[in-house]
Amino acid sequence: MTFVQFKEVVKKYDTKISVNHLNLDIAQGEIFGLLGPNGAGKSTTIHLLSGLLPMDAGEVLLDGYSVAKRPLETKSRIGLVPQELAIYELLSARENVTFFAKLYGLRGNLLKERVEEALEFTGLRDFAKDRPAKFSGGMKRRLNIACAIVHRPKLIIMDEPTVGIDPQSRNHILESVRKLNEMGSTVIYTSHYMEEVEAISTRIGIMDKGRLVAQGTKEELNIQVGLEERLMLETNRLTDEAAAEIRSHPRVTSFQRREDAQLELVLQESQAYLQDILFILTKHELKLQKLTRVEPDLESLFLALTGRTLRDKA
Amino acid sequence: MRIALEVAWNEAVRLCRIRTVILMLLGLPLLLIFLLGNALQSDLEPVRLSVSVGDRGALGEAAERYLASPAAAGYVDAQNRGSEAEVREDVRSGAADFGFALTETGVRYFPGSFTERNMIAESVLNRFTADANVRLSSADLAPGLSGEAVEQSLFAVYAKERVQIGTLLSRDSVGFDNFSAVQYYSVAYLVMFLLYSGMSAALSLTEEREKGTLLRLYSIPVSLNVLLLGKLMGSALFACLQAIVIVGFTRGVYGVDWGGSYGAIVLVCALVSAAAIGFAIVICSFVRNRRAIESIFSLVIVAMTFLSGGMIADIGSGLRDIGKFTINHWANEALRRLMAGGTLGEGWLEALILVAITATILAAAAFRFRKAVALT
Repeated sequence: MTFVQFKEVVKKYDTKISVNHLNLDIAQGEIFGLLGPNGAGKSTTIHLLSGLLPMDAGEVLLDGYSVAKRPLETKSRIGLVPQELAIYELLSARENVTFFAKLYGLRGNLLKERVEEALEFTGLRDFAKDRPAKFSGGMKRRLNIACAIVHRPKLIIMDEPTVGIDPQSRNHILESVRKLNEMGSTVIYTSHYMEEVEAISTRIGIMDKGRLVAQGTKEELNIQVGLEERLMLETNRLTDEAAAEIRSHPRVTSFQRREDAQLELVLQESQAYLQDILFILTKHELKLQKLTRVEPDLESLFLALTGRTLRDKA
Repeated sequence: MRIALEVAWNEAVRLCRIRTVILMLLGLPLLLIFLLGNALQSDLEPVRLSVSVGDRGALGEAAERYLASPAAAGYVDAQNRGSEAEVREDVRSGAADFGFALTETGVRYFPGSFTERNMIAESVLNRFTADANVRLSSADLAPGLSGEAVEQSLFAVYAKERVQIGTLLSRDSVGFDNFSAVQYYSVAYLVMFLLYSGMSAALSLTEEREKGTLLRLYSIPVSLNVLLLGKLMGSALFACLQAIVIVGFTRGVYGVDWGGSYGAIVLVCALVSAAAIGFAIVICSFVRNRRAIESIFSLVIVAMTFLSGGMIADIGSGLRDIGKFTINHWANEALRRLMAGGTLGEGWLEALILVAITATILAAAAFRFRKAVALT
C-alpha cells in the first residue's frame, strides 16, 4: 500500500531547481533510504513532505492526504528528526521530550508514559534530568530522535541522523531505526553515508541535482545499471599469455590487470565458470594465492549513475 | 490556546534560565535605578550664610526680614556678624559657605569654595539685591513709604519667579518635573528594559532558526500563528515578570511611590511590551544575524531613552522635542502621571499617542510577519 507519494514535484529557490519533477512512491512499512551527495535535494524533499516548504508544482500525498491542502492531518502522522540538533539546551532531556509531546496533544498519564517510553527507547532514561549541554554528540542525536518519536508517528523522517557521532552511537541509532520499523513505522532515512543506507534500507532512492536518478532494492538498482559481482584474483606471478587467455574467456565482461600478479574481472555466472579461470592459471603453472568476491556497493552504483562520487557536492 | 500557552511557558522558562538575561533584564535596571537615583538624590542642606548688615535703616531692616522669611530660610541659614571683616573671615575659615555684607555704600558678596552652594546663595541674595535697587529708587520717589511695605510688595511680585532649588526626594525640583530622582529613573528604566524584552524575543527567534528547533516546531500539527503567538506571549510573560520585579523592588526597597493605579501601570507596560515585540518582528524580517539584531536594538533603545530624558533629566528643549517622537516619552509621561496620582483618562492625549505608536508598530509587524518567521 502506497503511504507516501510524490507526483511531479518541483521546488525552486529563485532560479535554481532544488527538486526537479520528483515522482516517488513509498509503501507502508518500508525503510526507504534516500541517498545523494550534499546539495542533491534530499533535505528539500523531506521538508516538502513535512509541509515545511511550499512546492512550486506537483503534489505530495501522505496516507492519502495532500500535504499542501491538509497539513495538520499529514503533520500529525510525521515524526521529523532534523539534520540539526533541534533540542533546547536549557531544558533537561525529559523537559525537551515532554514539551514536544505536549505540542502533539499528549496529556496526563499518556504523556508521562510516552515520554518515559521515548527516553527508554533512546537509552536516555538515566540522563533524563540532565541538560543536553552535558551530553555527548551521540546522546544529543538520540534526544533529537526521542523528541520526534514520542507521539508514535506513522512516518518517521530522519534527515542525516548520524552526522558527527561516534560509531557506538551510530550503531545504536541504526538499531533504533530497525526497531521503530518493526513496531510499525514507515521510515524515510537520508544520508550520504552509503553503508548506513545499504545496511538498513529495504529500498533506496538515489538523488542527484534534484532528480531521482534511480530507485528500488539494491539488487534492482544493480540490475538497472548493469553492475555485477567482481572477482579479485591474486597469484604468485602472472604471465601475459595467461592474462590474455583469461581476458578472452567468453564470460569475462570486464578485465583489469591491477598489479603484476593481480586481476579484477567481472565473470558472468561466476559460480559455473570460475573453474575455467582456475584451469587457465594451472595450465600456465600459476598458483592462486587469494580470491575475493566483491559485490557492487552503493558508491559504485552512484558512480555508475551520476559519474560522480557521493562525497562530491551536487 | 493551550498550545500557545505551552510554547509561551517554554519560552519564558528558557529565558529565565539564561543568567545573562536575568542579570541584564532584571538586575541591571534595578542597579541603574539605584545608582542614578542615589547619585542625583542629595538633600541640600541650607547654605551657611554669614551676614553683616551695616545699614541700620529701612534697607537693613528689609534684609534681615527677607533672610528670616520662610522662603529664604529654606535655602540659607543666616548668621549675623558685626562687621564685613568677620564675614570675610567666616568664609575664609570655612565656618560659612557664603558671605553677604550690606553697607551704606552697597552690597558685597563673598563666595566660598563650593560652586553649587555659591549659586544657591547668589540666587537667593540676587533677588533681594534686585529688590533693594528698586526699593532705593522708590524711596527716592516716595520718601514716606516704609521699608516693610516695599519689601512685602516686591517679595510678592518676585515670589513666583524664584529659582527653585530643592531636595530631589521632596518632589519639588525643576529637573525631575516634581519627582524624586529614584522615581524618575524607575519609570525611565522600566520602560527602557521593557523595550529590551523585544530584543530577547528577536534573539530567541533567530536562535531557534539557527538551531533547527523552529523547523521542528513548524513540523508539528499546529498552526504557525498559534506557535508564533505562543513564542511572543513568552516574551511578553517575561516582560511582565520584569515589570513586576522592577515595580515591586523599587517600591519595597527604594520606597518609590508608584501611585495606586496598578491596573493602568499594567496597561502601559503591556503597550510598551507589545510595541517592543512588534519592533522585534519587523527587525527579524530584515535581519537574521544575532549581532546585528543586538546592535540595532541597543542603538534604538538607548537613543530613545536618551532623547526621552531617561539618562539625563534636563536634556534641553530641542532634544526633548525630538524625544516626543519616541515611545519612551509617552510611556514615561503616562507612568509619571499615574505616579502623581492621576489617571490615564486625565492624560488621555499621551495614552492615545502611546496606543497609536504601538498600533503602528504592530501593523508594520503584521505586514512583515511571514518574512520574519520564515525558516530560511
